[in-house]
Amino acid sequence: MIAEPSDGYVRVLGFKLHYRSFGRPDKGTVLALHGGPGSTNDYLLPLADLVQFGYRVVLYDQIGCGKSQRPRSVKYYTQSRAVDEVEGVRKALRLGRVHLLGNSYGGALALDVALKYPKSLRSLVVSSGFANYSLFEKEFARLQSEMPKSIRDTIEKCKARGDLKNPKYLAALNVVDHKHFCRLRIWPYDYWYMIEHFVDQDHGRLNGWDITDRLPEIRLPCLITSGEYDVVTPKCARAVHRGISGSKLVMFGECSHAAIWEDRARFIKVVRDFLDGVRASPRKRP
Amino acid sequence: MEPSEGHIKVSGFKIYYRSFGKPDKGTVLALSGGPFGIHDCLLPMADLVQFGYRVVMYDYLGCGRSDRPKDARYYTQSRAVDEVEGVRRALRLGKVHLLGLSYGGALALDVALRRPKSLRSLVISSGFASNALHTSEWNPHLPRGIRDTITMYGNKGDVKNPKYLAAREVLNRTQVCRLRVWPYDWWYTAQHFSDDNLGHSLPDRLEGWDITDRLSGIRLPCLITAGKYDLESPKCARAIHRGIGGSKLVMFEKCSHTAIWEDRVRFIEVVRDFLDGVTTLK
Repeated sequence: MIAEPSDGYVRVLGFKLHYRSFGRPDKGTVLALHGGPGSTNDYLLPLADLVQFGYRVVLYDQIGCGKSQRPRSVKYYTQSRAVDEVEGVRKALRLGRVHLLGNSYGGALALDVALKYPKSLRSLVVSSGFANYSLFEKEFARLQSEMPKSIRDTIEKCKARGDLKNPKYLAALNVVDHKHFCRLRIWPYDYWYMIEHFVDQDHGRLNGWDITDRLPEIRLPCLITSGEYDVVTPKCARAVHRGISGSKLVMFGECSHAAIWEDRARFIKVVRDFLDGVRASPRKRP
Repeated sequence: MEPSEGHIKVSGFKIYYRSFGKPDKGTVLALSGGPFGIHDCLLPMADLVQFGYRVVMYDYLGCGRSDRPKDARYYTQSRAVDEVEGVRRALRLGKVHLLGLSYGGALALDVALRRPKSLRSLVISSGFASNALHTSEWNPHLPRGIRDTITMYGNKGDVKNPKYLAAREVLNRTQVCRLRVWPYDWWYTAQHFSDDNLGHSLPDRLEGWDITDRLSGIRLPCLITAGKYDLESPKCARAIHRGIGGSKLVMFEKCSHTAIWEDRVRFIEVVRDFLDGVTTLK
């Protein structure tokens, strides 16, 4: 008999957070962090494919996101609080030591968790993430400058005029979205739903954030993935890879920021093989 | 528009349904395989929401979160047809685009014959119109030895035998879903196939069922799809295509029985383009 999925709310640092759990932890538990800051856990659903291989998969909406509580004050939207929130979810759901997977901003968050709470983790997966916000910004600016001039002009003009509902503006954004965010011609419902429910919860939390120099402190087994056309460019991924000794870097050709959907079967296979390897080898201790 | 779910009362029993999106362009009612396949295998259909369609799916009586009465008389084809109509009415869906997958395709054809006025169009994906053809052509690509092993242990009811399971695995990976890793919802559906303890199966329900000769009576816009490696032989799809005048047949070259998962983007694109075409006709 298989474990039925469950969902609910868990109180962490005073606020109710929505979570979903799939499968049984026969081989271990994967806790996954969504991107943004400000997206929702829905688009991480393909991680549930790991259930058939013996892993429990837990997803949740970060504070201010999706179905979780949404306090107004910006004091709840700092990086250090987000790190404590991950640890809080782990404890509240009694997950034990987890494999922590972060996608996009969630990858940046996972790295900070690995630095502050290494004993809570068995391994780390940083998918389309980064360790240096200004490198990401610089690279993003480069990608934008490489877009066709007509696309750039349309975006700039409409932005300057505040004409954000203009069909031409939306069409131009659509080109960027399908080039660097998710290259599938049709976005799967759960990914589309997340985009529709995206709220900007950044509040400057990553301004000046750069932990590149601290990466060598991370002694966990670590998998880093990136897409060929990723909006968080392969350069960002390579910087994480260089910093964490013994880490493994896997590139997804033909993919951008959503390899989890763009090449779902391979993405899950790569993560599963990594997790199975962590189980098989004795844990490296700091 | 948030998705919704719940139970409705249909023909005296509680039926579990889920609904996604708003019917700006129309509503798609989707039928799963089985006859005891839960709705989860249909979830990619929700990709149509972004194009203006409402998508509704439900668990048949006897499976998933719907009621599971024990009496065999509730599990007839004629009652299943009434159930589709009952769901449509209980949820006030109006005229729907009816899509059926596998056995759901066979069911959709019967609905089209009995309730044509309830439908705007018909999509038959990896379905069939004749139980005899379905049975004789089942698994056209499967090596003989594998097929014989499945039949032998299946007939003995020895379905936990490792040899049977190994043979099933070959079948599953080549003619049911060719993806290297099965997506969770499809895997979950497959897991729940096996906990059917009602003692009824497809052969029981469809013994002698053959509506090939009546297909020409279907006057709805109709899309038929099949996979090249489909365990439901493409011959079944072509027979439906020949029967329904003006119907469109689309083959999925790299797919088997679950093009909806194996080539999700193209499958949804093909269905969307078909539905948009029907909507424009009006």
